[in-house]
Amino acid sequence: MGKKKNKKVIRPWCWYCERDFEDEKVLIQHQKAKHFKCPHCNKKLNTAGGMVVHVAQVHKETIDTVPNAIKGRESVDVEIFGMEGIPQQDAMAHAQSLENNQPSKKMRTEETSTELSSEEIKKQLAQHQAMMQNNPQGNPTFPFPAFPTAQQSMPSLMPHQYSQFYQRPGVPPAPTFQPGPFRPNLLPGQTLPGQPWRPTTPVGTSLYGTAPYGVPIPSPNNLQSTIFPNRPVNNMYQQNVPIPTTSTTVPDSNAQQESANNQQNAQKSASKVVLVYNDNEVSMEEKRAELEKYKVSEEQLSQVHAIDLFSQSRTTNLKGRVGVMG
Amino acid sequence: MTYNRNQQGMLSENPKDYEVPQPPTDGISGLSFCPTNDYLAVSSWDNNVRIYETNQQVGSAVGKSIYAHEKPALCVTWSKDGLKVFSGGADNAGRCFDITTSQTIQIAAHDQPIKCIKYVDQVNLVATGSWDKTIKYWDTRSQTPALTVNLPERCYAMDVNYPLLVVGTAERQVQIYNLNNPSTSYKTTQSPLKWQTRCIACFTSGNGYAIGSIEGRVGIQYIEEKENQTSFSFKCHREGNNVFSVNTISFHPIYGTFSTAGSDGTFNFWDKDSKQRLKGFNSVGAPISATAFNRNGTIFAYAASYDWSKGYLQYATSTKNAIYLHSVKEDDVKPKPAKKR
Repeated sequence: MGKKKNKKVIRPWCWYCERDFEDEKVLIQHQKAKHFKCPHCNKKLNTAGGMVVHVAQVHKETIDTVPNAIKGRESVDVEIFGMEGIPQQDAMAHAQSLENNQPSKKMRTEETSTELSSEEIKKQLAQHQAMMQNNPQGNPTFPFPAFPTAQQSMPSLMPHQYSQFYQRPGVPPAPTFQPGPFRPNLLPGQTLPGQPWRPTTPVGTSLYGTAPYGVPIPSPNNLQSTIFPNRPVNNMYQQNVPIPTTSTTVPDSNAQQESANNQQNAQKSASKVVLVYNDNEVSMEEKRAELEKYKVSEEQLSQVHAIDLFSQSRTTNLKGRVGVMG
Repeated sequence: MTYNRNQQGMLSENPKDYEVPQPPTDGISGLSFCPTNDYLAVSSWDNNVRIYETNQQVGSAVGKSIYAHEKPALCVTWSKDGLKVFSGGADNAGRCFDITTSQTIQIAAHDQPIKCIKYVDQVNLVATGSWDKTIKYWDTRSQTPALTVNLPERCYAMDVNYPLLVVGTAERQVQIYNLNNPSTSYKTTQSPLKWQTRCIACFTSGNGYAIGSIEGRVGIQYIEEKENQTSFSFKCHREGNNVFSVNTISFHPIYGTFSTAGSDGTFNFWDKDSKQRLKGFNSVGAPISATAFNRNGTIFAYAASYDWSKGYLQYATSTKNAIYLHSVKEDDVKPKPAKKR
């Protein structure tokens, strides 16, 4: 820990989704794949502007949001390439959040403990609420960075339970804030950090989950994006933005709805694919050849002869033309 | 002058290509360019095989010859010297048309329609693949096949690039032959695609083949095990939720890139090595049933005609049977360096 303390190297991070990377090359790859990819043909462009032009020219459509971007950063007008072009205030906020929020290795592990029993969720909520009450002004040196993180990650996984208990009025506030309750959250059979997350959360790798997020968050709604479940609440305290406890339920139900919608859409697009020709057993030509017209009968044989004659005359006709051409 | 098309500078263009006059009067089943000059042979469901002389400098094409099968002609190819046209048909017969004498003789017979015909110049034999579940090799001077090879299923697609011969059959079987030993299959596999095999084309390099299915997908398959891991497949010829058949694949003779064309009426040029689409073209308004590059890859011929992908009902309303000649722009078929991913 000691040697890291003074290290203030900021890893390259993505302005659109607040994720950080090993080096800028990887970051640029990430941006091309996640944020600058044409939704129509999957072509990867270099900048948001490039994507806009591509979509307009090639697909004749307009695109006004950057895919997979967190709210407030979807604008295609901001020219971002890797670390270049990041608005200064955001860069500073990011740096500050890094400073305040260096996660230990242990915390990173714990952060992935996302499957909480409802009882544990209750406990955490109680802690959270108590904390809210005790620190309405926010506390920049809030000592348990991983705590809100894990809590924040809940809505995407168990939105139902989360909202249910959150709306319950009489939750007793817990007396102390300790990372202790997190231990039991590591359920048996839980996998290593990151792995269980990858399929559902395309952007936030939990390995770096707590470290980079230092964005000033305009409204509590932002917290609820299901795509970014790892975004920690504790930034709120650092930014001195107290969360009104009641408002949390509203966006949460939004998130719930959103994920439900996503599921529906996924199912729709999956089931609606239609094979124009769907007889896997017999080819088009075999079917066509079955048509009476193509089956030779006595009558049709004579027709074939007629065609022969016709074609012969046509051949000579064509030959005549070739002669003219030559 | 070349075959005209409008320039839009778009990724997908609306093809405005030269339409060959006096087209077949029914569906077009096969296109094949002569290996020695720009003659184009066309087989059709109207029983006839037509031969056109194309002239890219002038930007024209003109009918030269026509001969008939007793039932629909399903496939057509040329001899290497460019003097003979071979065709197979629903009359279970393979026929040979001599350009110089305009004589037609029957060279092959099957128990079922001949779906595929290829000329193997190295051994001077004509290979015919039929729905009677055989491939037969014919010496054009002989009444009986030089060799008959049994297939597990009906032959749907076949291509040859000596000594490689690949046959796709019903039930998604793929048989790979080494023509140095044509009697037994070099490899028997299943199609990498989950749906019925529609078309097969050998790489120009001869170390693999492209296979298209009715489910808008193309598989790029390498023959040898050590290369096999680089095999892949990709989706194409889809529009919204509709998935169209990949009707035909043609390799560019010089660059080794290839075209796909489908029931959706579009065609694309692809580079398998960099895994990119080089060029896409918008629908021509009817399914594309056959395509061919000429011998040096400067002309791309494609046939817009109904392919039966929507059954009989659609047949009544689709009367279009057109052959278009597209002047190939070098940039559209040149391999591109792989994109960074």
